[in-house]
Amino acid sequence: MIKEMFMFKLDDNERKAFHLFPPQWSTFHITKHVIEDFNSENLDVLLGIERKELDQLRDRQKKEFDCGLNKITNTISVCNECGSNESCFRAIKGILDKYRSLITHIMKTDYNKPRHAHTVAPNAIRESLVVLDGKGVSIISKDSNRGYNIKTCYRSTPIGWKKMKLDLERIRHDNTYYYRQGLKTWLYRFSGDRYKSVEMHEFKNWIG
Amino acid sequence: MIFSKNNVTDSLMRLEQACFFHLEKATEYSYDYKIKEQDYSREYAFSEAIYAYEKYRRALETVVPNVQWENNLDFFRDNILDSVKESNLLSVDRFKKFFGDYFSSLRYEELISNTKDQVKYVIGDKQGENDRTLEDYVSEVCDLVLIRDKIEHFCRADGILLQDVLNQDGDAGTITQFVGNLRMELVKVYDDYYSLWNLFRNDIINLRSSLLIPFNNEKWWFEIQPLTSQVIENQMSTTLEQKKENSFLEEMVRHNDPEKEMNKFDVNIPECLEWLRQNSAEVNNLLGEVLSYPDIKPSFYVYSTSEDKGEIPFDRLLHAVQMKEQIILDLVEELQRDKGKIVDSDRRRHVIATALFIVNKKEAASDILDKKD
Repeated sequence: MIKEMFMFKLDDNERKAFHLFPPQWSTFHITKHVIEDFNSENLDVLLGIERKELDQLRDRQKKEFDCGLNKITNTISVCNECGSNESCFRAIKGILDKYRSLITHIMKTDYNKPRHAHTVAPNAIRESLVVLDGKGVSIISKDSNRGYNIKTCYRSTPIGWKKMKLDLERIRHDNTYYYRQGLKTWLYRFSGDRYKSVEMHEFKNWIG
Repeated sequence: MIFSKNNVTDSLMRLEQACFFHLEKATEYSYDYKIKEQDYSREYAFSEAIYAYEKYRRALETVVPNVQWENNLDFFRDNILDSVKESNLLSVDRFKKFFGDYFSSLRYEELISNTKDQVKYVIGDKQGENDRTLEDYVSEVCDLVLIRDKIEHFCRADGILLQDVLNQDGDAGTITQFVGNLRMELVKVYDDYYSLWNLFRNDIINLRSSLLIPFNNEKWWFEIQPLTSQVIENQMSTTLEQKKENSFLEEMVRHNDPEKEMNKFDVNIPECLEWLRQNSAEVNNLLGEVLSYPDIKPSFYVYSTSEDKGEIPFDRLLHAVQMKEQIILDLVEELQRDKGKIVDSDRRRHVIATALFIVNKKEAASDILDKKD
């Protein structure tokens, strides 16, 4: 279990945030968002990891740990029920550390040009904090009595890129498109009645 | 600041910002010689810029004319066209190739079908094992709807794509037909997934409002109606009724499959029945009609309302369906001929086998299940 606390500035207040990552959460999220990268998020580029290294790791997960995660059944229960979870956790630890550092960095630097939203998600009682950085990375954390618990970190990808036969290499490495998509994604979600409340800071930074 | 949901000025500002962003990208890419020949990012960037311009233009039709906004609109148009003309890296052929792939009906079908499968998985996930929820699919569904919106704009005779960008060699008729055909095929796919759009109807209506689409100007945007308590009630009662009917029909399919072929191939019969009924009005009417026959209805009634399911008159049911089996066999033939109707070959074989078992064509159904594409 990874436990780490860091301080960050939010709306002029110093707040606490926690990385509380059980092994199953870690293997699931790292495989989904970084190693297998089901949605072409290209987070490996931001984390400074070679794709080749990730492909080798994915091979190992499949062969040694009999990994059952796939695009449709990408649920944490696959990792919860996996007998090789401990070994898998050790194998992905290096990537997890970089993923965690990216989250900490984004949370700490949001203050420079705030683009976050306080929301209450459907079926939730407590507030969630959504932070969107300039490279399109979204971080969702949940407020608790002692601070914000990090829940996930990912990049949204335009659906228009998927299943294309033609190459779109340049676009896929252009962070500004990820940022636009992140912006659109949150605005679509927030503009409905699904979220009980949405408070955006700073509003001008959510425009474009 | 609290997010304002229906602010016209905010919407216009966002649409304008999107124009600036995509124009800047298109211009940047138009001079980027590092982009490899096989890479179509440049065409993608331009198509996004053109679409951003068209969305902004449409939105401005709904507001009181404003000189600044109109000037901006002209600025975007002139700059897009200048970039297209000045770049020697763009060509009509490359645009055609890009649009052929981007707006391919097969790709569109695959994208929607994948999203629908994932949404169904989330809805069926009673244990909460999936870390995604329905709201996580809002953006994906909106983007899928926008692909249709994009082709609707691109095939407009007064749009800048047909009028200025692709009309460079004077062969306007061929280009118009090419884009028109892409639109026609795409719309067919879109229409097949009404249930998905319906599920996200409020999100699509919000999207429509944020794009400031003029009322009843583009009818397809307004086919999706707001959810009222009456609509919910009607839908729930129809869904519940159809679930009961399908469960009854599933018994018949299993009865007609004594070798348990469907189990061997792990066929999800309720899902296949649902596909058949949702995608063929003729088959849906036939099955509904058969279940309402006076000699079948009582047993269906007992089956669907009591704990003790009672006897199912399989012979009578089969006879009634076989009287009009041509309807089902026609659909089977259509599915075999037009593979684009169900892109996933396993899924297609499962649906066809289910249809064949309904009319008791055991051998043909087993052959289909055995056969790989």
